[in-house]
Amino acid sequence: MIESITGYALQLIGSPDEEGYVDNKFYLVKRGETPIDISEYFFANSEDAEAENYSYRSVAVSNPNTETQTFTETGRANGKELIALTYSSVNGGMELEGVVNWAETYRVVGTDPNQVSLWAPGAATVTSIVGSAGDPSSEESDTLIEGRISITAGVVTIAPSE
Amino acid sequence: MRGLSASAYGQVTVTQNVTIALVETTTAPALAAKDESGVVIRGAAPVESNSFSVTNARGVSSKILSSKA
Repeated sequence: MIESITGYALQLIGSPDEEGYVDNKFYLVKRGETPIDISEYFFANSEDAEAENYSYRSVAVSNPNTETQTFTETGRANGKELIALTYSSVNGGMELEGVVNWAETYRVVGTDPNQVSLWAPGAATVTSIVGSAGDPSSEESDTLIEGRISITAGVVTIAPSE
Repeated sequence: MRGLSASAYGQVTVTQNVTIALVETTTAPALAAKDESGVVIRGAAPVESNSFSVTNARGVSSKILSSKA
């Protein structure tokens, strides 16, 4: 069931929503080519078991003498969460569970007027992955899948406004 | 969000590289131990027996009373 895809890197790519939370999906990426969205075949869902630490602080300072105002936001969050990973292909699929250890930092990127606030994802791992793979149409029994997934810290890019 | 036009959201991209390391093990038919929700129990080795029990990393014990092997 485990397949190799040569020449492509697997990446999570996404953009922040209106509240700054990054909504990302799995893509296959190759230099010079348009990333291929594979989220229809490989995706993760929360299993409603989560522990999270969260902090956020905003400070606004006004100076009436100079009529200027500064506004600073800082935030950090990290946690663990049980997730389900699903992979499907023409040869069957895999149903896996694992524990994701994640971290995020609240960041403001860009310059006015293209300034965006977001929770930038840090490096993460999915450990204790276990599950099964198989083809429902096959006579062969399911196989046992174990392992881990490593995810690098998010690289934030902001394109200039048009 | 400060002084931000809605159109700017689409211009921000966050990219993370993903490395998957999975090992696939072929188990004897119907002997892959599963918990109550049907998830295969970690570390359960194929055993040629009609009755055995295993305990997974979370301390959950499962007993397989019969098999189709």
